[in-house]
Amino acid sequence: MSYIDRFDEAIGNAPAAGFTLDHVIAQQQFAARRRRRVVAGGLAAVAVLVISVAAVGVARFGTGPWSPAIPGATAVSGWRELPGSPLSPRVQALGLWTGEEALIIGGSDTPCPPNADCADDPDPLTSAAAVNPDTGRWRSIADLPVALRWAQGAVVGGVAYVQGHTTDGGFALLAYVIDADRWEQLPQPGGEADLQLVAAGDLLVAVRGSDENTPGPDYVYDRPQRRWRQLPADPLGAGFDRAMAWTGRELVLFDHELVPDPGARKPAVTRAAVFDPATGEWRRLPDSQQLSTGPWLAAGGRLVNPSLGGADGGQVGNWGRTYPNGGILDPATGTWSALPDPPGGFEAGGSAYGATSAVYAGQPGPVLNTAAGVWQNVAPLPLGDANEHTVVAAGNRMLIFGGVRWGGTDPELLADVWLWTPDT
Amino acid sequence: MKAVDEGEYRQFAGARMEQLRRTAFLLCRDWHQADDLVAITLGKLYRNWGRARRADNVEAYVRGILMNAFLDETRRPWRREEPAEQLPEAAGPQDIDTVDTRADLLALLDKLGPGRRAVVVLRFYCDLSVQDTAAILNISEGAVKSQAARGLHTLRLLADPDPATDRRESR
Repeated sequence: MSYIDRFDEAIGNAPAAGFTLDHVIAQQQFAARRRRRVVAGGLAAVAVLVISVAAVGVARFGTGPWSPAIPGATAVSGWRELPGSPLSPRVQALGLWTGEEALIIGGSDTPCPPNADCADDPDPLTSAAAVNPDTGRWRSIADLPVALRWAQGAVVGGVAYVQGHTTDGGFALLAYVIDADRWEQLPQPGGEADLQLVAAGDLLVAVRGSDENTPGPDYVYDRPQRRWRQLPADPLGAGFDRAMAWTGRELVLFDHELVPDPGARKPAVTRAAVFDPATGEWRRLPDSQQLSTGPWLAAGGRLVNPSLGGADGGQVGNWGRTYPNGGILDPATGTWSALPDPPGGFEAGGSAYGATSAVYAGQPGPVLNTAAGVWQNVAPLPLGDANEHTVVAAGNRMLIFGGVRWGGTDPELLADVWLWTPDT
Repeated sequence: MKAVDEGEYRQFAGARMEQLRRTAFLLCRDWHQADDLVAITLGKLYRNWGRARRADNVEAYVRGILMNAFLDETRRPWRREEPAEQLPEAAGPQDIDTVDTRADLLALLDKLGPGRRAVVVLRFYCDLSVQDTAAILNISEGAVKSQAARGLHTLRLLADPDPATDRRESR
């Protein structure tokens, strides 16, 4: 029996249709007459609407309707749920912050158990949505035109740039124009895949993660010309664990020096150099005494890396002392300093928030209030023992979405969304 | 719409309405919702009949509208489904000759996510090629192959008296 026959047998005898073609046509003709009336009578209203939109500042052209606002959504510290997501349960969705909304993009509904090597790559989803954590309102946004695995991105100038691996083994870089609710496909920087996208003010930068296998330049995107330009060569030379952070005025490159057996005889400390887009020139900073090259939070004119824990090189080839993972850099002076009284007992993780931005590890535990220089605690996530959830720094708050909980070999995919607000 | 165009539309839509309802039922497994989807599809087709009739493949054009209507509906929170990749143990292989085939096959389809279900229905019920399925769903041919293979794996949990049939038909 063919599949067609099997499906037909499963469908069985169809009941009489609940509509007729006449109904469909009559409905369409009525709607067409109504549209003509609205167009004729609504021209004056358009001017009012344009003025209203201009007053609001940002127009919204999402494909889906807004969900209702949640009373008291701008509320108190701690965890709060943001219900009403139009997205199906999923893992590994990309989360980006636009300055007003969190974009939740793509992901997969084929999770892989923790610590397992799954034979198949995740099946990517293309649906996406946006939520405003201040109002709790959700809206659907245009689907990704290309399904992407392991997406990464950055938001610059009202455009969300998203890149990832396609299901046919390729790589794609897309631009989502937020106000137009439209996706565009972009050329890859230098024709290369897997460079890290970084927002640097009104610039989009593509940073090479390592010079180990494919040394080469970093790039900056020229949106009006729709092409990538090479950044001038940095003064650090070959490196690995390369990362960049934006101070608000300058771009800082961090890396570890690429040498044989890094960390074997001495710690691979974090190096840094500063690029000034206004002059197009680099300046080298003194090396640090810390190990981690990111993540970084710009706060109060400094860059803060809240990574906890450290390393001493082990018993063989011990470095003589413990070098911390995290620390603080004043890029203006090139001065490095330690995190203020970091809590012990943590070998990794660590988060930090400032007045308007944050970096979150997406885990319960210590988070540094950079303005006060004190640590507070993120209570356990309401998702419980979930992993592969999306973490977005929504301003200085933490938004988490989806993920998966495992009961033995049975996955429970999640679509829950929670917002953590720091103490004020 | 001109009278002559409406006549063409009626002829085309009327001839395909039942097949579209059956396809929609496979996607949503609910006759009321299937009727909603087909009514939406035929309404959009009416509005765009001038463009649709000039399309290279009008059948594919209509199926594309139906699939988009279905996938749009699944994204609405009040109709959100909860797809599960793994079937419960109790669902295990069935004997197609001895159990309620209709309920089992529909139950298996229910375990597929909406996107994968759309691929399976287009490939194995509408009998479309990988290329046509990819074009309708606006996804890559590789994605269609992957989704179809995974969907087929699930459907193979139906015991087939002649497994070679599956291989031959799965292309």
